[in-house]
Amino acid sequence: MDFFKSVASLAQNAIESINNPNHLTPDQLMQGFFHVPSDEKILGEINVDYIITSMVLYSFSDSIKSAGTYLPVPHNINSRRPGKLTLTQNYLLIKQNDSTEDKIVFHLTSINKVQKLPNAETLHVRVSTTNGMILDIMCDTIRSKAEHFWHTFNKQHNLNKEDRVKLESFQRTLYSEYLISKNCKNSKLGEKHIDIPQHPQGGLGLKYKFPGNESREKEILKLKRWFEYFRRYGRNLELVQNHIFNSLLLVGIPNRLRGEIWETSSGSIYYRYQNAEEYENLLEENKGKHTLAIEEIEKDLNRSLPEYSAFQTDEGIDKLRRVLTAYSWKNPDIGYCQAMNIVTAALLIFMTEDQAFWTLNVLCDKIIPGYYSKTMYGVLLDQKVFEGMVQKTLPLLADHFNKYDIQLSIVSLPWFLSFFLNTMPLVFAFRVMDSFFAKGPKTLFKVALAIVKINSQELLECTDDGECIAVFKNFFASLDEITPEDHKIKRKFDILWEIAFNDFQMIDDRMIIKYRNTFKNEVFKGIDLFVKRAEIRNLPDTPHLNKEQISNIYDRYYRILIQDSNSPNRGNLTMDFDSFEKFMSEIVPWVNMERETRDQSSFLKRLYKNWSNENGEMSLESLVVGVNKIVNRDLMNALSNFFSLYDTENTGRINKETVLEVAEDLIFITTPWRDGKIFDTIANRELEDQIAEKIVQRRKNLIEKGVEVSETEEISLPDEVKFDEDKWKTKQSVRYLSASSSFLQLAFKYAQPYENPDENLINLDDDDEDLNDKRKESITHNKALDPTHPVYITPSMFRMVILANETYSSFFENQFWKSFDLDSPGNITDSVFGGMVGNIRGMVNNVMADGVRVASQVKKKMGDSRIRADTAASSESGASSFAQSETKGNGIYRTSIDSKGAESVMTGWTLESGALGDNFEDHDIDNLLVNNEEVGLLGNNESEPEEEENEDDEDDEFGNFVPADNEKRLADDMNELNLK
Amino acid sequence: MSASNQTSIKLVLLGEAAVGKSSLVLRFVSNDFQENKEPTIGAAFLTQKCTVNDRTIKFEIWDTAGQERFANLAHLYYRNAQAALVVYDVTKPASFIKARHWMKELKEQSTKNITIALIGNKYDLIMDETSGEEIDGARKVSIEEGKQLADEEGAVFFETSAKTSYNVNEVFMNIAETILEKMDNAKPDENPVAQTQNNNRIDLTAPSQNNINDNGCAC
Repeated sequence: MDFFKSVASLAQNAIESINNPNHLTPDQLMQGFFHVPSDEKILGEINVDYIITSMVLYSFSDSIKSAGTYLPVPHNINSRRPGKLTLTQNYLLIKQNDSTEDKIVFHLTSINKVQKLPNAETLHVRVSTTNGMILDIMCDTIRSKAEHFWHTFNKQHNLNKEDRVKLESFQRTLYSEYLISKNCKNSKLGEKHIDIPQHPQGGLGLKYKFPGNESREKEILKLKRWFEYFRRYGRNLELVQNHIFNSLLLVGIPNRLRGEIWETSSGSIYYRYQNAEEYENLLEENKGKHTLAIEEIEKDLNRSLPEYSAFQTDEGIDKLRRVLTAYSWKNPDIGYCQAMNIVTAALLIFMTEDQAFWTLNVLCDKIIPGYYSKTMYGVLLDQKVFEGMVQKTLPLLADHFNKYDIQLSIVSLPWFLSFFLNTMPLVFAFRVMDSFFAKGPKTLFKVALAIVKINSQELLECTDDGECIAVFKNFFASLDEITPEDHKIKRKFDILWEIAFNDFQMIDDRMIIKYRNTFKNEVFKGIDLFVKRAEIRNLPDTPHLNKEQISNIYDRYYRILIQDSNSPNRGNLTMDFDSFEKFMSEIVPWVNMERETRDQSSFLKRLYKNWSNENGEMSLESLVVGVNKIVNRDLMNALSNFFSLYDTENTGRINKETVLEVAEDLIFITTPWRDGKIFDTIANRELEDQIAEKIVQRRKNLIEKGVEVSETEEISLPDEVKFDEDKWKTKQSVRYLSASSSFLQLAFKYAQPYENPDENLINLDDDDEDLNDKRKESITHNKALDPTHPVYITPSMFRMVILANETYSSFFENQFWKSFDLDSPGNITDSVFGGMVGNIRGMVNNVMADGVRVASQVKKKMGDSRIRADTAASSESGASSFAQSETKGNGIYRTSIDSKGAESVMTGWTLESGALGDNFEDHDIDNLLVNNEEVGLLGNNESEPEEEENEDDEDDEFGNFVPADNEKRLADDMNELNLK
Repeated sequence: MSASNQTSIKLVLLGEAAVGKSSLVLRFVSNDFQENKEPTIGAAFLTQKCTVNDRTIKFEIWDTAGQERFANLAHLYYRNAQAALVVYDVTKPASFIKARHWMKELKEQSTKNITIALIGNKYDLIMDETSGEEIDGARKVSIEEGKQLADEEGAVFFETSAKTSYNVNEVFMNIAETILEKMDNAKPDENPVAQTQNNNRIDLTAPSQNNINDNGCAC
């Protein structure tokens, strides 16, 4: 599910890429206004007055000669305009002060002459370009600052001079230069131009005809206007954009020039000029590679503007494939989105592949960021913006839509995604694009609003989405129809166009940004939720986790990924070890980020490795599956899973060194219990018993005094009872230490030698008897600790060893899985951990709160206090949670033994039979658990009991406390052991 | 009173890109087939009337975009839908996996009572026209797999070909019959259920309201 994985940093990226003027740097604002590439930085900025002139413009002042009549005759040619002059690495830029649209962009390479003109008051500089543009700049600032600016300019200009050759060959690819070259050969105006004998390469339209049936005359008229514009105000890399330029865009660009004007007004021409080889290189470098994007592109190649003849040929399809593929390499985060095929196909009618590639880049990354992204947040957000604008500008209609639950956004989405290319007849969609590349998304909003406005009468009669769609469908099909209006004959499209740019003038970038900010959070939230839902749905089944727990893991996983991601622009899709450690520290009490120990990292590394996917990476899926495994509440499964953490080769055996590691890790994960931060079930039961005992004591005292005691009396803790917290902590701590020691001893007692380490397991079947003999021999001699005789333990042995120890077995039965706090989304706190109690007061409170159990204890004790040791002989249940567990067993005895044993442990691990012997004789059959542990320990020091006998003991012991459903498994384990 | 017999059924098509969702609709609505149909951007809306058991059914069909990133938008179209066609391509196993996801999503997110049909399309690609038998190895998703998935999710199952029109009408007729049946069953005694449904949303496709509208128009 690559798609879902890449949205980790979605929210962050999205917020950054939506133009928020408050967050944009001056560089970004400059790039946005002039459409220059995003690596251009402001190197200098001064206020100036400027005069634009050119040889052709100059000729107008000399009223004798005229240079064209297709554009209005320019007046006030020599007028000074105030503006801001900006220098970047590669560009000299001017923004006219009192205009939001007038601007000049000169690439430094195209400037061939810079003169300082004599002027007493201000610094006056004349800049001339290769194509005859002349810019007089009067620096309206303190002289030193102005001189510094021009000094920097000279430095940058010199750096660019080397590119002169590059410039000329680039100009040869441009239709504007070809037009000038063809028509100015005999011009007497002295314009400079390069000779281009051959028609430069262009779009598929040159060969397959351009869509629509524009008359030759009209096309030529349009070309003449642009030709005049180029002569007067420059072109491509040295261009003045003023109101004439804008009105030329609005009346429609001639087909032959369309490609170049699109790339000039969008600024993609600057990228193409500065990255000449990149397109071809991208294709070359990634040849033969396969990605999801490429698969998706292939599916759509045959269905991109299929009605246009070029896209029924290999030539057209191949071009489309190359451009889309190259873009998917250039921007893998977007890859390929349906609609890009249609847009690119449209570009290729007017542009070469190289031009289309860079225009697609600028389009996706600059003009409409987020539209084609994997979550499509950009286009979703703009649909909300659009609905908001309809509400604002056409409130009656908006109310009607609300009333009938009509969602305009589902109708308008395709308009925005493909710039009307698949809704309007192509010729009209191209007109939208003419304006769109220069003005950005506000064109789309204006046109969309105009469409709604024109059809408002019909729309007011619609009562569902379907009817609205029908209205729009009819409208789009009739755009070419002629309607008389205001004594003029106009096409419906022309009326639409007028409404868009007259009635909706107020729609500007600032308004769009304002609305985007309003709806941003709503949209992101919706997407986040969708992505989360989909990703969780696609996870494998994890029976030990509920939906909420998975949701919490999901949230935590991505929160940590985003926090730890070094590059916020790229979703870090998998969790590295450090993040994993952090994750674990947030959900379990035995991992502490501030106290990193060797044990901690070695155990976590083991988990990380065990849970990671086949690539060794921790994805959300591997994490959820891993957690699911470790919180398995079935004791036997939990133990098998724990064993498998160490059985990395899957041999069903772990060797001596690994057993030692298991022991160390067990000590590590039980740290909070050893430290007395969490009390386990055993401590709880003991406390319960003691409380019951105290209550019994009090009642007896009362009875002795002749006070009537009701059976139903409320269970309350006698005030005088105090619990010594430290004592309880120490007691539990000692119990855990003792458990770890007996774990090792038992493990090595049961450990089997590798029969023949050199020959390994190959001969196993051949001489069974022989091996069995050897095994028996090994057992009797217990060579476990002899380094020359390697030994191993199996999962069943491991289970036996754990089950043989009450503390560890109870730890796995109801402490370990519970220590994973998956129910709270936030950070864990120290005192309460997943409902586990970390202090004695809390434990007492818990015991008292659950009065039923204490009451039953009390009742029992009251019933026959003399023979209390004989009651409840076999009553340990295998309930998996201490909240549910019925404790009828005789805890006091057990605990007293435990603490005695613990004392011995504390006195230096010397376990003498005598020390335990008293208890051994004293306690009865239900204490076999401890009994057995001791027998095991005794066995090592004293004469070992007969095998048979030992096994009988174990049978009884396990029969006592192993849950019924595990009995069979256990029987199997026992069989395995018998074999040996 | 012929108008009172008209019932609108809102139906949505879901499935991976290029499995033939739009083509199925085109075949059903216009009895036409286009080899290279443009991908659906966002969604397309079409209607078709037909007669089932003497009742006029108006299908209001939302044909959604198949590419994965558009999945984000699908809920806009399947909200309030009474029927869904989840489509896969019998020659593309990946499209079957996607179909499974769609079935799950519908179960989780859409109207409870939604009628679902699982459609294995492009049946023509696995049939040898001359022999009338399946081409060896062409089929990548077995009938059994399809049936099983449909059974699991309580959907009906069809294999279709929009190109040859094999089974296409049958799918829509089956959906119409199932929904009419559901409506008839829900009408008489289960008023409480019907009422709460009506109160919860402005359901323009609910039969009772439609009847009123249609009567109004007819007058």
